[in-house]
Parts: sequence; C-alpha cells; structure tokens
Amino acid sequence: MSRERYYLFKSCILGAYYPRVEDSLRIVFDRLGVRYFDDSNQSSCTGHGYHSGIYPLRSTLEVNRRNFSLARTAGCDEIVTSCVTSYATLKEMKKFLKDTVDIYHGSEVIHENRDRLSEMLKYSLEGIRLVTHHGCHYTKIFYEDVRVGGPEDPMLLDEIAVSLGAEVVEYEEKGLCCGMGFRHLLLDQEYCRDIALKKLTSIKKVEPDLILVHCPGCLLTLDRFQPILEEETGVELRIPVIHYAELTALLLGANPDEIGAAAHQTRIDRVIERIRG
Amino acid sequence: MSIGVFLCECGGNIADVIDLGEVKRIFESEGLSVMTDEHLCSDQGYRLIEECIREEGLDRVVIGACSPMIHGRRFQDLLASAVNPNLLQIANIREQCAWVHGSDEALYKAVSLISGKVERVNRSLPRTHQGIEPYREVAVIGGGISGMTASLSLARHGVKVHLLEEKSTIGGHMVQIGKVFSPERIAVECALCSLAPIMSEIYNHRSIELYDLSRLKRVRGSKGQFELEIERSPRYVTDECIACGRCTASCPVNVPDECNIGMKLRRAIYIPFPQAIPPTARVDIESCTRCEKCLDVCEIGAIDLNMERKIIELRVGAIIVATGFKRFETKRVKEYGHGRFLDVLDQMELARILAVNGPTEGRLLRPSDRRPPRRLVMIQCVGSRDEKFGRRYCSKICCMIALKHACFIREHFPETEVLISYTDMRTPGFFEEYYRNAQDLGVRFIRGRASEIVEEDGVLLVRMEDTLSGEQIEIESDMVVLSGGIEASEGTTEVAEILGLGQREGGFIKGEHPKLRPVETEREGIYICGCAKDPKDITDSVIEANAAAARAFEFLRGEIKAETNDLSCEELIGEIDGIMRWKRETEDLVLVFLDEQVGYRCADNIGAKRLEYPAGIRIIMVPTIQRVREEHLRHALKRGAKLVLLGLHNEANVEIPEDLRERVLTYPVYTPYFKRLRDMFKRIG
Amino acid sequence: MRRMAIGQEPLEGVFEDPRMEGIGLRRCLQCGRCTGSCPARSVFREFSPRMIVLEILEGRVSDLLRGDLIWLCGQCYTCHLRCPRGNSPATVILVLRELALMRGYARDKVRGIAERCGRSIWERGVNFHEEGSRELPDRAVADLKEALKRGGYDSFLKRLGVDLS
Repeated sequence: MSRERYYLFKSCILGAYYPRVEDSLRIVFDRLGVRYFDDSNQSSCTGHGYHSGIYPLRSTLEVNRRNFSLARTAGCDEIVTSCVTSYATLKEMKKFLKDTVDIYHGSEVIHENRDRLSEMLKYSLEGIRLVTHHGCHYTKIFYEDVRVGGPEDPMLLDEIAVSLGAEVVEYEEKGLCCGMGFRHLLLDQEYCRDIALKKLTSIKKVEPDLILVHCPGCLLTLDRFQPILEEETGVELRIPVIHYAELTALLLGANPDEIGAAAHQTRIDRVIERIRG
Repeated sequence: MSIGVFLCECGGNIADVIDLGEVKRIFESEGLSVMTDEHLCSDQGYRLIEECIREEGLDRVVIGACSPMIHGRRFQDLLASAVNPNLLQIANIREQCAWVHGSDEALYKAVSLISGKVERVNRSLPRTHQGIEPYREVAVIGGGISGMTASLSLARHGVKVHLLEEKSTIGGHMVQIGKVFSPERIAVECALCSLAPIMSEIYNHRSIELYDLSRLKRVRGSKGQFELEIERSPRYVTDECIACGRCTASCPVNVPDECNIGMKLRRAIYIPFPQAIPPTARVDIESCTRCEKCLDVCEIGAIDLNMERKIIELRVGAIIVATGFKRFETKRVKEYGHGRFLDVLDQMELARILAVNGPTEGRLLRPSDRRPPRRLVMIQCVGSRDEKFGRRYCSKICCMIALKHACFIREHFPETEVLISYTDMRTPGFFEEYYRNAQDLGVRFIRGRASEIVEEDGVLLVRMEDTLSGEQIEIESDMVVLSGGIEASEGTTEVAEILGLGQREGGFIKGEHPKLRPVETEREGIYICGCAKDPKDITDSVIEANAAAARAFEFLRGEIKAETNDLSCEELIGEIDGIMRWKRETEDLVLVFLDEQVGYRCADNIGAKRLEYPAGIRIIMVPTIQRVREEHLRHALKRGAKLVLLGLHNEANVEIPEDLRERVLTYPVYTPYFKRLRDMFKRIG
Repeated sequence: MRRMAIGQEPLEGVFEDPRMEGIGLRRCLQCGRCTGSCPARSVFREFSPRMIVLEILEGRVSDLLRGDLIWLCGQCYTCHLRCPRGNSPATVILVLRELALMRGYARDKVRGIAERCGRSIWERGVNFHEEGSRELPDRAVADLKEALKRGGYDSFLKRLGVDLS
C-alpha cells in the first residue's frame, strides 16, 4: 500500500438512517490496515440536494471547496466515499474547481484488498446466492472510470462477492436504477415505487439470498420500499438488501448489532444467521 | 562543408528596405562567403553564382531573394552542374520580408530566414536530380476484392505484381458474405460465383506472384525503388497438393471454423472452402497434434510438417495498400447482449446462416434451438455514429447490408417478419430502390436507436423509443441482428506504421488529397484503395482499386524525378533551428508552416500587395502540411516559438496532441483569401 | 400553426452554464436512445428526454422552465451514458432546473426538500438528520455557513421561500 491516508467521506443517508453501516466500513478498513482520517468537520457533499435541484452549481462548488480544503489540511490527497452520489458529486466538483484530489469509492478500496480480505474472513458466503446492484452514479456518470467490467456490465461488487465465497446470479434488470430518484424519494414516490418494483420483481425471479449494494440511496430505497410494495401489490418480496461494508464487516466477525442489522426494514437477520452458521 | 550566401538587391526592391551590407557582415562573421548583386536572376547573376561556387569551392548555396515560387526551380536547374539542386535553397526576403515589414524588423527577419536555410542545407544530402529508373514491378498488400482487382488490372497491363495475403486464401471478407447487393438491380447476387473466377485468374496469371500467409515486415528506399521484406509463414503443404481431401478426412482434430465465424467446425489440415486459392490443403499448426495421420494418407507426399517460415525480399517501384477492414466487435456493446444471448448475432453471422455453404446450408434457423425465427429485428448503427463506445463516422454499408438481408429473408422465408430499427436510413442514388423493395416486401421500419435487449421467458425484448410516435416500446423478437460498423483492419495499422502513412479515426489510411488525388498517399509511389482507406461497398472498392492500379501504372511508366521540394525531417528541424537561433530576447516568434501549393502562395500574395504584418511571423514552406510531424511542433515550441500555426486547406486534417492545442493553432488558407491570412498574422503576431 | 423565427429562438442562457461545456446538445440526432432507456419515462408517459432536447433546440426553453416535465427526471444518468453524440439530457435537465428556480418558477417542486434538507445543511451540515445522528460541531457549521453564503445559498433558498435566518 503506497497510500498515505484516505480522507473518509461520510454519507448523509447512512449517517441518518443506517449509522452502523459507516461503522462497518471503519471496522473493515481497520482490519485491513487501510488508514483513513475521520473528520467530524466534513459536511455533506449535498449531492442528494444537487440532483434534486435545490442546490445551484455555485453553492455545491463552495461546499465542496471547503471539504477539499479540509482534506488537504488533514494531509490527504485521496478521498474515499461510502456513497456513490458523493463519489460522482465530488468528482464533478473537482473538475470545475480544477482540484487535484483523487476520489475513490469505498468498494474500490475493498476490491483492491479482496485477496487479503478473503484470507481474514471468519465466515464465508459459501452457499449464498446473491445479486449485485451497482449505483447509477458510480457506473453512469463517470462511466470511463468504472474499475471492473464496464458501465453496462459492472463487476466490482461481483468480484468482491466471489472473493467472499458467494455465488453471483445474473438478472435482467441489473442496469436499472433502484428507484430512488432524489427529489422523487422526498416528494412524489410514484417513481420510486414503480421502478423499485420493476427492479425487485426482476431480482425475485432468480431467488437470490440477498442483494448486495454499494450506495446508501439504493440501500434505503430497495430496503424500505419492500414492505410498502408488498402491502400495496400483495407480491411477496422480502429480499435482504445489504451494503458491501456491512457484509464484509459481518464476515470479518462483527456481530449483527455492530453492523446495525436492526436498522433494516426488510429483515436481514435470517440470512445473517445462515452466514454465521 | 562550405556554404555560400548570395543576396539579391532586386534592383532596390530588397536593398532599399534591408541593409544588405549588414546582413553580409553578419554571415561573414559566421565564416560564410557572402556576395551581393543587383539582379541575381539575370544571366550575369547566374554566372556570378556559378563562378563563385567554383572559385570558393562551395558545396551548398543559400540565395536571399524573391519567393522561391518565382525563380527557385530555375536557380536549381541552371546551377545544377555546379551545385546539387537539393543543396540550393532560397530564403524569401522579398515577399515575406522586405515588402511587408519596416526596415529594422526586416533586417532581423532576413537574417533569421537566411539562417534557417543555411541550417537546412547544412543538414541536406545531395539528391539526384536525374530520373530514377524504377523497378517495374508492384507490390499489392491485401488479397481481398480491392487487392485482387488492382493486381489483375496491373497484370493485364503487363506489370509484374506481387500479391501479399496474410490469410491462407485470397478472397477477403467477400467469400464469407454469401450474397452481395449492387446498385444496378435489386436481385442479390452470389458473391462466390462472381469471386471464384477472379480468384482463379489471379492464381493462374503469369504476371501475378501470390504470397499467401505473408506479411510485410520492413520497407527501405522510396518511390520507384522500394525494397520490401516479407515474412511468409509455412502452409505445411506443397503446391503439389491436388486437394483430394483425404488428409482432411483423416484428421482427428476439430476446431471452430473461422470462415463460418466459429459456427461450424473444421479440421487442423483443411481447405477453407472449395474455391480457396491457393487450391491446396493447409495445416493450422496451432491446433495440429502432429499425429501424422495425414502424412500416411497423402499419396503424393505433399505434406511437410517441418516447413519453416521464410523471409522474402522484393524490389518494387510502387506499392498498393489494400489491407481492408475488420468488423466492429458488437460484443462490446454490452446492453445488446451479443455473446450473452445465443440469438443475438451480427450481420456477418446472419450472412453465414443465409449462405448455402454455411452452417445451416442456407436455412434461416436461429442458433439456440435451430428453429426458424418468426420475428427478426435488425438494429442499425451499432458502433457507428456512436462517439461514446464506437466510432463517430457512418460505416456507410450497414443500411444496405440490412436491406439486402431483410429483402432476401422476406422473399425466401416469408413466414419470418423483419423489422429494422434505424437512426437514419442511408440509401443514396439507386440504392433507394432497395428501400422501396423492402417496404413492398413488408419489412417494418422503426425510427429510433435501440436502447437495450433483455430476455424474458425465452423471448428477446428490444427496448427503444419509436421516435416518430414518441412511444417507449419493447419489441418481442426471436432473433436480433446487429448491424455493426467497420474499422480498418489490424493489418492496415501495421502496414501504415511500416510505410509511415498517416491514419485517421478508425485506423483508416489518409489519402493525399481527399478530392482530387484520393488513391494517392502522402508518400509518392504508394497508393491506397478499398476499405483500408474508408468504409465502402464492393462496387466502390473495385472502382478505387482500378484507380489505384491506373495511378501506379502511370507512375511507373512516367518519368520519375526526385522532387526538389522533398523535405526530410532533419532538414525541417535544421530550418527551425536556424530561424529560432536569431530570436531576440524580447521578441515573440510565431512559426507558420504553409504548404507549397496553396498556403505559401497565399502568404506571397500578401507581400505582393505590400500589406504589413508583424515581423515575428516566420513562414516555413513544406511540400504538404502533413509533412509537419508532432516532433517538429514540439521542437519549434522548445526552441522558443510562442505559437505555431499550421495552414490547412482542402479538408486537410492534422491531429494536434492534446497538450499542444493551446500553442499550436490551425487556420484554413485559400489562395484568393490572402487578406484573411494577413488578419490572422496580425492577430497572433 | 407555430411560427418559427430562425435564429431568434430564445435559449435562455442554457449554454452559458459551465456544465454545458463539451455536452453535445446541438449534435442531438433525435435517435431516442435516451427516451428508450429512461426509467422515468416508463413511469411518466409525458416525460421524454429526447423531447426536452428537441424543445430546447427549437427555442422553447421558457415553456420547459415554466412546466412540470423537467422535474420528472430521476437523475439516473442512463441517457448520459448511452447518448451516441455526447449529449447528456440528465445534465441539461439539472441546468434547466436551476434556471427555472432562478427565474422564480417551479418553487413548489422543491420547496419541501429545501425546507428539510436545505435547512438541515444550514443548521447541522448534513442533508439528512434524525434524532441522535451525525451532525457537525458548531464551529464547523459556522464555517460551512460562510461557504454556503459565498455560494449564494441563503439567497437562493430565499427565492424558494425558505428563510434560513
């Protein structure tokens, strides 16, 4: 590892709704010896609001000029985000600010370390069939930067999952948005319900044990809309949605409370039990 | 080495503005002999130069005078007995100096222009001015329809042709296509029926030497006298082979047959298809297990598994590049699922299915279950007109290929419905008839570029917007055919690099002049035709191949002269160095490269009209703008030029590296519009 | 019949936004790859990225700014990824959204979000906040407010009817 230290860029959605997921990322980084600076002064990138329309470009630039300068003050040239919208928003602002800071996504760091990680596992995903969903703001905005596979066939999470022992199953709507839709999530959930249902129905067809995601927004949407959709449509879904940080922390031995299993509205405890034997 | 500088007063045209005495002192202090005369272009002037050359023992000459466009060639010709024409250069101190600048500025600039020519001749080698005796033979690289056509045309003119083909048979892509379209009539014709006689004539023609399994490795020399080094891989079967087929029958190996794009199997010793040329068996040594069963059954002993690769030297006067195209890899467009869904194919795979000698013997069956598709959808512009993951250009032939296959299917398999999803249908000229015919045959057209293909319960769903109705639709289909575009073949890039020819997007080789000299390249004696140049159909390839053959023939029959405007990289670097050497501290210099035919004449016109512009503009004449390479641009900037300007005309295109774009500018020049060029000089000077 | 005045179609500053640099809006082929790929279109029949691009190019920007359509996009960027001409309807829509709000249109489209997330970032430095969840220390919030002011955020929100003071 030539890297000095990452600036850990925290997510607003995780912070508010799944605080333990970010803790999971810290657990995994600590175990891997990935050094990071955890700055309480870092603000949201405001990407969620930016894509909703409530932040003009100018304001988004200033907010992140401040964040980049905090990273510099901490001596970090590299930012690692836990969220894909932060990943894309910071990359976009970096371009306009002509900043030289490098932006990575947390799953990329885990992917880089997957061989070492697989040797440290307390549990493995042997016998678990899962599907992956890569966040649109990771694959489609800076599409040339997609690390593994391509924007239309991202394999980043797939390769992580395989190295953790899982069997990855394909499904038709792999490229489809989760349904979050930014302003739709907060104001008018018709988009969220329709798209999430289309996505989940396609996933349900291949009967996976869980959905592996790498974006807080996708986690929130696919997790929290399942009970709503079940009630509205009568279709049984109940597919656990797990963030890559939670999953890796769990396999390294973290207990369900440490990863915040209870925050999920679509239960994940049964699949956790299976994994933990 | 002894260089003489001759300065022409031009009756005062030059001397009244520039203090030639000062120029003389400067160059004499550099150790050069310098002479001035009132009119160097007069008879006395020539005699003066000639005497001086002999007395002083000069071997290189720089003349500071009017534009080389006026007397340049005459000076070189008349003084040829005294100095090699390539070692005599003219510095343009009238049109581009005395007539356009004030006295002081003109003096400095004259010194710098003369110095440029001094450095240039300093690095010049004598070039023979006499006609070159060319090797009266031609190498044609590539044995597809273009290369074969060019070869036959030359051979019929009595020129000896060496035809190189990298594969084990000539014929190119056309042997796979099965059915071909032509602009004359709707009926599709059998490709192999028209091709086989041509291939056979090539093989039997006394003037054509065929080198199969051969690649160009190196080239030396130049126009008229090229020396090529060819590497020929062994076929492992001698020409004695009578193609009886016993060896193939005895071979236990089965590998995918590339002629059928892997949809069929072949043996390790095989004949690709019955009409293959050379008409012998060949061994695919990669898959051969050396069981030697074939050796046992061959009655004439034509098989030799120990054959080795050979290096062949050829001497030719001209080269025709006909290295062709490769199909765009449609599997790269992941959202269409080619490679993931068995029943998503490209047009060439469909062509094999429709071909009588193909994997289904011409029956329209889909690969997954070998049943006829009821609904077949074609998607146009896959990899073409796509600047994201494909190529920007239109591949030109895909609309016609789709219509050809669509018509053929509707006529022969009417139970199969065909729908074409298109961005724009391009059927110029008489090809429009195909479009009408397809409509009459019930082919459906939906305007819109397909977004993605998914599979649902064994049915392929093509998702797209029908842009004419504005509906987002899913088209149920049993088979989808992608109309992939074309790119230059890998062999084209390989040959372009060996021959030093410029390429453009997609790897295609650039012609010298896109309109008036389309089959000539920037290197004289090297011609280009077919899809190595740009996407085109068979008809256009044949036309171009004949044109290239005619040009090569013309070239070898005509008088071949070493052109005086030839310019080596070293000479160009010398001229840049010489000019930049006299840059004063506070001065901003802009190096302007202008071609001889248009740009330089345009700049001379500014002088003829006495229109002033900043003296920091320093013009270097080049035979064509393509002669200026990236290294020259970098060198000019490194030596202190503030900017470099390249004059472009006639759709000439130069690629400027990303990091140089702020300091290397281009400007379109046209001879009559010299005032605009002068305005540009004023802006950047 | 709509009369077209060539060369006088108002573009309302769409091309002045720095995000438009390098975006192939004028190169649009109207091939429909964007709309064909669009999840929002599958939910809202009236929404079509291709039509939005067409309307801009035909100079009907002000209709777009006043209307509802640009608020239907889910910002998934599939159109941005798949456009064969380097256009990016998703980016163009973001530019239009900002223009609309700057012109005082469509406030009701985002006021709720601005009230919630805008206030949350102003007061706590995070877009979303639940009881006990992460927020920035006071000094950092003060510092962030300065940055937001420099970016004109307080006055922008005021336009939306959200008073932060």
